[in-house]
Amino acid sequence: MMQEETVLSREFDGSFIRKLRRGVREKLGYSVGERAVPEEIEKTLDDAVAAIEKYTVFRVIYRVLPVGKIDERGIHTKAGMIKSVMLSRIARQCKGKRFAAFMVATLGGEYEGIGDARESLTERFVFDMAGSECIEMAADVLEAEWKKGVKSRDFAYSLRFSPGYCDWPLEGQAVLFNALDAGRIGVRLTPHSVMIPKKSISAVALMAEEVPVVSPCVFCQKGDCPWRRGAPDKEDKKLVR
Amino acid sequence: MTVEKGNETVVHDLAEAVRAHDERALHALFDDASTSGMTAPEVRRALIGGLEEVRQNLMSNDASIPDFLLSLDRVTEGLGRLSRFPGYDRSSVEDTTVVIGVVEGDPHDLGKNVIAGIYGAYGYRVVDLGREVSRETFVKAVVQEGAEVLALSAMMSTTMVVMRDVIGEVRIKSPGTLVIVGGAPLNDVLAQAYGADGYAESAITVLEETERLMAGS
Repeated sequence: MMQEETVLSREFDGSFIRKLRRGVREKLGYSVGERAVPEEIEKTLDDAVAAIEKYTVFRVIYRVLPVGKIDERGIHTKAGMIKSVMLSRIARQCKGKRFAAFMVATLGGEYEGIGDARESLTERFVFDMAGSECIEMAADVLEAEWKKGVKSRDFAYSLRFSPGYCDWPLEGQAVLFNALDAGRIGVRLTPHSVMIPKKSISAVALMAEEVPVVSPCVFCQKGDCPWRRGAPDKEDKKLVR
Repeated sequence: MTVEKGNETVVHDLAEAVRAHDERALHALFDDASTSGMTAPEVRRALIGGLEEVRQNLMSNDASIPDFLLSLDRVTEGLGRLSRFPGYDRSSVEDTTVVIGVVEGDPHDLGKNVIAGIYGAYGYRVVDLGREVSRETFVKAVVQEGAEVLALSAMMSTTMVVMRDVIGEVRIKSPGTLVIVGGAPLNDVLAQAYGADGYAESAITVLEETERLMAGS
């Protein structure tokens, strides 16, 4: 498994943009067949999407490192320890050699500036929502491609996890930023573990010959958790309660 | 009698224009309100009436957040034009001062901006310190402005801990100020642990929580 850093840059195609519009409308509370989207919101969404097309490039840096010791508190890698009991439980269930795939991705800072400069609260809200949805969707696309790639090499892949979610504290960002020179894609970490630009995401996924449990939600009784994740595809469904 | 009826109609239409976030109608209605002799408090009540209806709809899930924000934007614009009406006295409306800001280290200010907009629309005097505000700046503003309420926002688990220091210092320098906190990583248990008087779960409920604190319950 390659351990060097890889940097990718992507522009968004028409199909992505169409899905993005649909996704943002839903996140704003205008699901198809429910409330009509007000004209002002539709126009602001047009502006936000146009700004995304004009001013953003999805940039990602990733690296795969071997997993060392796994104990009850977390997973050790040469970039540092991933302090998550849940991830440790997933890692212990894996079969064969285990790897941690680290990723940081961003839309860059220019789009944020355009959104922040909008006059009304509504416009700023729509721009913010469009940016958040865009970075998450772009990461989903990348993850799907990546997953296909590792499957073709007889590797399985867990869902991606981010510091600040589940039982992995936000301070865990330091491990990702040790693993990656995220400055290469223009992302930095503040002393409070906040990524700048804000429309950036970071994540780690576990890889192994067999990954029988892909989601920590399997181990968790918190049924009302807003971040609870279901199965991404049929073969994983049986693994998520 | 005719004038009064006219006023009632304008009041109704102003509220409806806010509810429908109809900018063009609001502009025209402001002219109607002016010519029919409406006072600033009357116009203000009409605007808030429309906004309150949308807020209630949002609470019952019959409106979306952008619907509410569109109406809030209309009210904010409208309040900015009240000075041309008779009976306009800013100080008589804004009798409660709220100092608001995002704590040091946290660059996320959209939620805070929405809360500040809501406070402003509902007649509070808002002193918005922005984002990444130091403890010293919060304390200085609370004392200088004689704030009845300090509203603190943090969107990250790493920055919410800063609130504890700010609240501790405000308790010493301005013991009468009520502190309300909000933000994604917080809940009422954490708010209490940090020494806050209240916790605003969302922009929709911040008014009730503030009123509850002001009433001393």
